[in-house]
Amino acid sequence: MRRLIKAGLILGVIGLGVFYVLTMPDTIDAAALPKHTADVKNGETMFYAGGCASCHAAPPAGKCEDPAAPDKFNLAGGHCLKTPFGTFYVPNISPDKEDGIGAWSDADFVNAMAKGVAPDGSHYYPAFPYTSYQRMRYEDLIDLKAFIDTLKPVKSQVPDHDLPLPFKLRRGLGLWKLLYLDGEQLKPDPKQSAAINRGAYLVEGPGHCGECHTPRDLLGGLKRDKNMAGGPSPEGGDIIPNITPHDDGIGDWSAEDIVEALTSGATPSFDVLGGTMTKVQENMAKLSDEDRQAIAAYLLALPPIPGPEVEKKATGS
Amino acid sequence: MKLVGPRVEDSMKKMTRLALAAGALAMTAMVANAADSDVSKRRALMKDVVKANMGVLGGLIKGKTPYDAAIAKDALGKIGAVPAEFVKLFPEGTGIGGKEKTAAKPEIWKNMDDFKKWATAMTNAAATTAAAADKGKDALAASFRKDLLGSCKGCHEKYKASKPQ
Repeated sequence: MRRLIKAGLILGVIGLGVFYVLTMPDTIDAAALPKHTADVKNGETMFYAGGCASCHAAPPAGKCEDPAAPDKFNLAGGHCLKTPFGTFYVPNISPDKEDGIGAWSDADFVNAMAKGVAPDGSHYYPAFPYTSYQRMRYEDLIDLKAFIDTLKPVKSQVPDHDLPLPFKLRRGLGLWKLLYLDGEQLKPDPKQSAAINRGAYLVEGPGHCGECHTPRDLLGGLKRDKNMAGGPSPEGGDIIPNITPHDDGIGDWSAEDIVEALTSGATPSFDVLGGTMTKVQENMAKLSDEDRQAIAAYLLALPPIPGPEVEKKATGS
Repeated sequence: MKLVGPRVEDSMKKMTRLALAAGALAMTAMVANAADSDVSKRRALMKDVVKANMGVLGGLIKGKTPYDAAIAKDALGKIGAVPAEFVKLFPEGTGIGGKEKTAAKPEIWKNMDDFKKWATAMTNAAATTAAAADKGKDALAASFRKDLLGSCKGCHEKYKASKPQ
């Protein structure tokens, strides 16, 4: 009996040790960053493409669920994201030195965006879509930080996330990242046009479109073989459309239709992009026409995949 | 060859006619019921009235049809008349999770005052765009995007799911 207990304790300690090692944060050193003078104008483009304000801008007072943000450049956070894993409270990323990211170095910012690791070494929850932002160039991330630094520092205390066990254990995310964070930046494909490469970068990187438009498995990781084929909304209560050029998706849309939808919100059938896409569209409207055309070119070049995988009922929509 | 006597044949004919009539009545009732539900009525307002007239405006703006302010204003008048009717078609229990599939989110009933404000905003936006129509195609296009689409988006962002569920 005593031997069993001893064996059990030893295994337990080894198990904890293995867990600890596997969940160690993977970070980039400041020395590994390229030498780069920040381009604030490009940072602004990244800010819109990345949709930072859509989560991080302060909601109307007392209404954390309200998707409206009175001031897109007030990045005080506080918006509450209700998901099947619990409720997340979006942090302050204004350049305030105590409550925001004003005291962060470029390396801190890159580690947050590309590795999902905070300056204190803890893991971020993937409600923060670093699985897409990891595709971005470090230069673009440095530019984005420089742009955010030009905005107003705002003081705010945002509550901690409200998550049940086991999701409460941040350290466990280290295991999740082993499965779902591949650490690969997007490299241009020399066989494709400049437009498609730019579109691919915007969609798969800062645009993080897949975070909504690609369905997820039970652990909340993206099912990348169903890239952009739609699925249940990660926030619940809706179905996110298929944006591959399949009949189930945007197969009968032209590039012009996609550009129009991103510019004004109007779809070819004279509906408007609604729900959470409204804010995305308003951000896309701030990009250059060239960038919107690049996004259209890339989407139309995606492999057509049926979806979303929800019970299809016969009502017209 | 006659299988039954003349009197039975008469009653059979009568019964058949009765059965057909009853069947037709039942079918009409079913169809009428389906068409009559608040969910279908409000969907019809959006799809048949608003969408059709947005198409007219789209054609004018994109230059697919020759520009005519009167046509634009007529379409906008029809669009502007929809919200008053539309807003009456949201009794409790007809949102997502109710008997019929719908894209109407539960937030509507949690914020009915705000929902109604958006309905009014749509009528006002249609009026604003109608005024712009007199100033030419570019003015119409600008107001269409900013005012009319803006009011569509504002309400759809909060209260409409992407697909009926």
